[in-house]
Amino acid sequence: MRTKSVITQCSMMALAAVLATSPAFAADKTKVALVLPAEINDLSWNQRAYEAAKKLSDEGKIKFAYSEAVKPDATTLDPIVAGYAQQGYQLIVTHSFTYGKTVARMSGQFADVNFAWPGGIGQTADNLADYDQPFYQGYYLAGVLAGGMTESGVIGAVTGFDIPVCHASMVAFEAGAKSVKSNIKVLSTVTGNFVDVAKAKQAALALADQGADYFMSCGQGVTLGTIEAAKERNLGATSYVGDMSSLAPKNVFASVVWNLDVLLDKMVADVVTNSFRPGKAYSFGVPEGGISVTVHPDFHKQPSAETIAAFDKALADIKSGALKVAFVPK
Amino acid sequence: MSIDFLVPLLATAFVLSIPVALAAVGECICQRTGVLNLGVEGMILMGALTAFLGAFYCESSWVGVLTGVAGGVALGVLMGVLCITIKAEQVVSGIVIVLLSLGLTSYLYGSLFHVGAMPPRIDGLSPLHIPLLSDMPVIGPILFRQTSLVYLSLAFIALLALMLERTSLGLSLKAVGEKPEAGDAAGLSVDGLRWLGLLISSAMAGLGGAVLIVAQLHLFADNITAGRGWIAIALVIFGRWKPLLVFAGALLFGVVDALQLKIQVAAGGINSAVPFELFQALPYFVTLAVLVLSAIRARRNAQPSALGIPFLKGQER
Repeated sequence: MRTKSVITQCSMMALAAVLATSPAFAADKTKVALVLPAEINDLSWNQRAYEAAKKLSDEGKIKFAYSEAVKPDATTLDPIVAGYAQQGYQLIVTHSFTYGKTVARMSGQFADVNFAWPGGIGQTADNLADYDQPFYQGYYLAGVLAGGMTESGVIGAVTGFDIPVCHASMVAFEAGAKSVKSNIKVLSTVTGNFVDVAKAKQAALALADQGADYFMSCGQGVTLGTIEAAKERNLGATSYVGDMSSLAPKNVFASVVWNLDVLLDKMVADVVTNSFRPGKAYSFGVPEGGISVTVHPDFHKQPSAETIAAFDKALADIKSGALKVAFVPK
Repeated sequence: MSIDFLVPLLATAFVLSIPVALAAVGECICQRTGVLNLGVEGMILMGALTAFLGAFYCESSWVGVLTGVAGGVALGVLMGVLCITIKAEQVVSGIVIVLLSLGLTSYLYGSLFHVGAMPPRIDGLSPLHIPLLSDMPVIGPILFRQTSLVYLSLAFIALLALMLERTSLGLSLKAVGEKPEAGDAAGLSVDGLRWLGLLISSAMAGLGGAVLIVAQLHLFADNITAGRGWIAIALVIFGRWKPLLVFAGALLFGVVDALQLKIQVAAGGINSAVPFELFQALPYFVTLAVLVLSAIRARRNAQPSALGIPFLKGQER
């Protein structure tokens, strides 16, 4: 396991000692620690979290440190989380569902530190908040575009595992597409792996062989593979969590983007105003600005005026609450 | 099963199996000399990264192929120093290589391509169109619409198989894997031949990584090999240490893996009543079944007698 820290271990300990003796000093900049399951340059889940913290740091709101590629086993994870807690970090964001057990344990042990984790299941405690990942709301919108543009009437879904986040996104994509063309057929494959780019590419090509011309995908490596397949056959793909369109500008029609900065900003504000507790279940979807959909103008096909109108209407309806995208985790 | 179903299936299978086949055949040569190269997963991964970097910075896929092979060989040299020159435990050396490569590739890639920068991508090689052959029905789309690198890979596999089974060098390589003392007494350099086997293995693993990147994916991501090296090691046992059987095993595994992707879709994908995990286990079930059958039919144990045992001159074991 490799951990990196923007401040060196030594100076952090010195800083922690200073902060421990003068709590008033800590008030001007909230100290936030991020614990991430993979590298910060993954174009996706971890990079978005890092960029969010970086943005708030650049705005002068927080001071942050991070550990990347941290495995979820207690022997690896516990000392890292405990370390941040002891060093006076006020908010520790443990950015993986798999960190659930540790964060529950640590939030009990360090009652004066605030914790947040992406459970998405509303499991909170006094000093532990939960934040969800309503990507599915974005995939509904991407589905509207795919439904409007598909020529074969067949759309494909490639997911790493059939977990709630992926399943709900896939079902919402289908619902979005069917809202435009009711006779659309969806083909799906699960690769059983989030990192195997080659397998995902072959899975997407297999779907393309059966007529699929627009794809959604769930998982970082899975999406890289699906985009490669779309590029090879000149079809349409979506990016996952971050914007991956630069890999194939002509073949990525929409990116479902997770704006973690909006969420983190809110959590930090709650810490500053002492309203973080009792821990909330933060839900930041399309209406709250937590999820947005980027439509890429360089895509090889321009959506028709009706498709754009349908997309704009769905977006407005989701924002106003007139349209509630169904969350189907399984 | 119609031709329309079968052709894309076999084409997919062929592409999926080439990187694994290269690594597996190299591993086979290496094991025949008595060196168990468990580091092959790390070598493919390093080859994948260095192939990507070479192709990216020099804007040439063929430079990428060379740097890919070099990346694999670099780890091969380290492995050789550990387990041949200083006689360290081979299993531990191999695992060290894999762990080192996982961390190092991720670190190097992360520090070269900074966060927030445009994700890099290389152009890669395009499939060759061979007059007549590519246009043949059925066989054309499966075999003759590949990149030139894939044909080169097949040539390497054939040459290595020929070398091992039909030349005196091959005989020497096998001798030091079976009875290193006898080979030594006959004037063979045991460690020298083992070095050769390991370098071939690491070069083939690096080439496998290069094929994955340059001919198929055109990008790099952490842990992009996703366990192909471990499958390569299993295929050596499956192919009973015979290069051509190992290659056939890689193709079989590729076919069943491609088949499960197709069956999943045909069965209704995620909405199917059959859990998708069952489909994913299919390649392993089939490999296991063939392994059991071939073990029952085989008359003798095919494993090289001195596999995994460092050679210490003049010392009885």
